[in-house]
Amino acid sequence: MDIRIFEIMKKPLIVGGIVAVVIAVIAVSALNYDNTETVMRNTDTDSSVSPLSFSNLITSDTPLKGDPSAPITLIEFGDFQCPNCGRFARDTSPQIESSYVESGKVSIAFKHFPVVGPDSKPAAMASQCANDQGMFWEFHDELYYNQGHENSGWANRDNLKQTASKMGLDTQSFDSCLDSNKYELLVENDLNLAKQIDFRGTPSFLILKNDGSQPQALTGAYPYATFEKIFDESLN
Amino acid sequence: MINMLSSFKQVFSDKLYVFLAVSVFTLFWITFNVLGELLFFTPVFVFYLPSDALSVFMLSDAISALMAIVLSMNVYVIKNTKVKMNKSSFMGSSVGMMAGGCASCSSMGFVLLTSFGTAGVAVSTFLSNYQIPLLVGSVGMLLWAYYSLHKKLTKSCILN
Repeated sequence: MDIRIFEIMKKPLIVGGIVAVVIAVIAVSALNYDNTETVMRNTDTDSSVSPLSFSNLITSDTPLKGDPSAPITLIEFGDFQCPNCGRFARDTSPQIESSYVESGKVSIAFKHFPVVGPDSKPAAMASQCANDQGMFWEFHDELYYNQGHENSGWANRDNLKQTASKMGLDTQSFDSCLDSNKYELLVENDLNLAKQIDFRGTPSFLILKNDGSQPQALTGAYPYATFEKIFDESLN
Repeated sequence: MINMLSSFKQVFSDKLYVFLAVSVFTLFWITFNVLGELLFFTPVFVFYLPSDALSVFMLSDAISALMAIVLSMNVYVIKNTKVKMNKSSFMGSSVGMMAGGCASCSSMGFVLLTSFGTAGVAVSTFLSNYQIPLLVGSVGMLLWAYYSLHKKLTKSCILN
């Protein structure tokens, strides 16, 4: 058996072929990991209004940064416990904001995809409670810039309340909002939407254009260069 | 140290093993960086290295290199002797693959939860939270595997 194997191994071309096939499989897997455009088929309906239109997705409770009438809206589906969402928030998002949001070309919205663990939903609800006080993005940054290990308790209800208190939010109102699970349904709806779109991981993104064309979907902590290319192609 | 390199030179004087090692390194480098969300093929081919990923990137590079060397040396040893594959290479490679490959496990929480239930989430949390110690442990095991292979190559009779 061993002799046969190594007679084959002596032939570099065969070995190279096997390696090339394995690399090709990985490359194809990587291509599949990006679900750009393909997931949209799952949400196609006969309705005259697309379920993924701006008006359907961006409601009064949806945190939005930038000009609401910007030609492009980037919707992030994120989890405050997800390390790659943290990477996007700390590394990529600031670059998008300075290059595209401040100039009014792109707006950024946030939807909840709480999948990492038990504290993910309370963190999502807490951010919406901060949104009630006009402090969603500040709370969002506070969590992502001080992110702890997954499911280690850093995002439990007590710590979320402490974070809100440190940020100067109205603690009575915030605590009451969080304790009453005011935004449980909203978070559930966001989660169900993400499942409906067939997002498989966090962060995931929908890129909507206000010309009504088909939205683009991405899953992964893509770097600025990726978003830059997509935005520039869409804007041109 | 010079003595430790003698077995390395002995194996990699044959171009077949150089080719095998380069292929294995490339394969694992791509795998680790795709799973770590540092290397993307679409919609733009891009590699980027944010500061929070630096330590994992360096450790997974070391693991890829060590796996390439150790695997090639294992093939050499098996081919030229009747000795079985080194256990520490297998352990080191397995731990390295799990820890290096699970950099983004938690991001796949929904898939893990639906596929494997809470056990899947617990395993991914463990692998993600202890990723760096696991990677360091994997480097240690692979270095031990190299040392074991070196001893086999220098102490046993090799039919070359």
